[in-house]
Amino acid sequence: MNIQLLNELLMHTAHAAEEATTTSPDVATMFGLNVKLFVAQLINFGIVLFVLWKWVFTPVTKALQRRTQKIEESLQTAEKIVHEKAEFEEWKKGEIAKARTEAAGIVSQSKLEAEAVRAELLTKAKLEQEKIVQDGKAELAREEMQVLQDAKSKLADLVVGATEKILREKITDKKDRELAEAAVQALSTKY
Amino acid sequence: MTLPPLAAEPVAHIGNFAITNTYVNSFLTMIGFVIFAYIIKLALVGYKNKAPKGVLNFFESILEVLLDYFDRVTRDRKKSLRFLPLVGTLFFFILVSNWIGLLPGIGSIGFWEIKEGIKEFVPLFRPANTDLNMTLSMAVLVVVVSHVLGVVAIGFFKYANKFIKLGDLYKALRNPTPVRIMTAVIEFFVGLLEIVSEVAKMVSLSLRLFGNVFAGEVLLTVMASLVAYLVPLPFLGLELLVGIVQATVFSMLTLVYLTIATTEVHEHDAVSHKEDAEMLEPTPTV
Repeated sequence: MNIQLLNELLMHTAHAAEEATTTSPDVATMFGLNVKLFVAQLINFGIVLFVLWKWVFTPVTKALQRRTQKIEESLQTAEKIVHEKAEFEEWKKGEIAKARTEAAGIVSQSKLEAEAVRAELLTKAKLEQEKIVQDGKAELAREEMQVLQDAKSKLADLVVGATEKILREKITDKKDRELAEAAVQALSTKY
Repeated sequence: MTLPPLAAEPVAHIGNFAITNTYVNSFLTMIGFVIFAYIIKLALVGYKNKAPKGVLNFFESILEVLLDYFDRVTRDRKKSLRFLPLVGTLFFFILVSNWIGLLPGIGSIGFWEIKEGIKEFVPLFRPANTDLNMTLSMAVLVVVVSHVLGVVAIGFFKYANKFIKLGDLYKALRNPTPVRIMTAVIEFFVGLLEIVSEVAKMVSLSLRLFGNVFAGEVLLTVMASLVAYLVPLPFLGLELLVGIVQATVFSMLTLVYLTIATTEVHEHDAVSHKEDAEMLEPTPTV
């Protein structure tokens, strides 16, 4: 009984295997599997792969990489510029402080020098002024003396003339002259 | 109501070659991509060393998002950039193919044909991914490329040792201990299983995409035949989502396969065995 069942089972399996082997080409037909169509579809996909590879993926990824590199370089440059700017600011501050110190020194030195020059000029001007004043005074004194001399001379002449007129007939010329000079002497002593 | 058949229907013939409605769609998609790629190429020339604008700017933003996702899988920007052409093309091609299938006219413009005495409607256009030839061609290409890249990245013998682990067996036999030999034998058979899994990758990738898109097509056909207006709209929205999900799944799995293939296998050498043994030893207690 068991052997019969086993035989049936084996027969059934054999039939199934036979059916499977005979139907396997039908499966391919059922799905429309066809070598020519398979190759044609592969070529279609291959063309798409080729054009996308050559014209799209390779150049676009290269462009992306170039841009990424450029951005990285730009960022590095920007960072460098910021760093350099900070350094420059430091240097500028130092230089400005230095210049300010120097300028303050120069200004104070200039002030001192200017003060000295001013004092010198003032002294010179005072001396000049005094000299001018003294010269003026001397000139004035000299002119005064001259005027007095002229005045004395003219006055003596006048006195002589006047006295001559008055005493023409009583006194000689010599006496007259002595009298006049005495009179002038008296006048100059008085004035 | 006529449900779409599993196989794509021929709409024309060039000699022996039957042009199917799915092939028409994939061809149109290909033409669209060529035009798009040319526009991008021209835009790149126009905006050389300048800030991008318009379509180029939009595409660049999408590409950056994609690359960020890729980085999460590969953990290496160089690898992401190396895999981008294949994985990116797969993503965009599958996405556009799926979405084009939702446009009015796809599946509804066609002609009537008498097959075996029965008048049948044959649509002129049908989503490209409802053809197993299309999805299988992409899956086969992915698996082949992953092996080629694997060999290039880590060398033929190291890569072959992932599948036929004779190297590990030889090392185990040079310093034989029962544990090492046992491990090497088990790993040898695991390697053989890996070969099977490579075939499974092709089958799973192709059938998953085909199944999902085909099911969407059937669903939309059924809904549109039940109520022509408004009712199919949510399902169209759902198919938009399915389109992007399937494109993401296919491309991400491809990326995982490529990453695994190009990663060197960490060998369990004597030192690491010693370390493992030390770690397994119980901590002495007072």
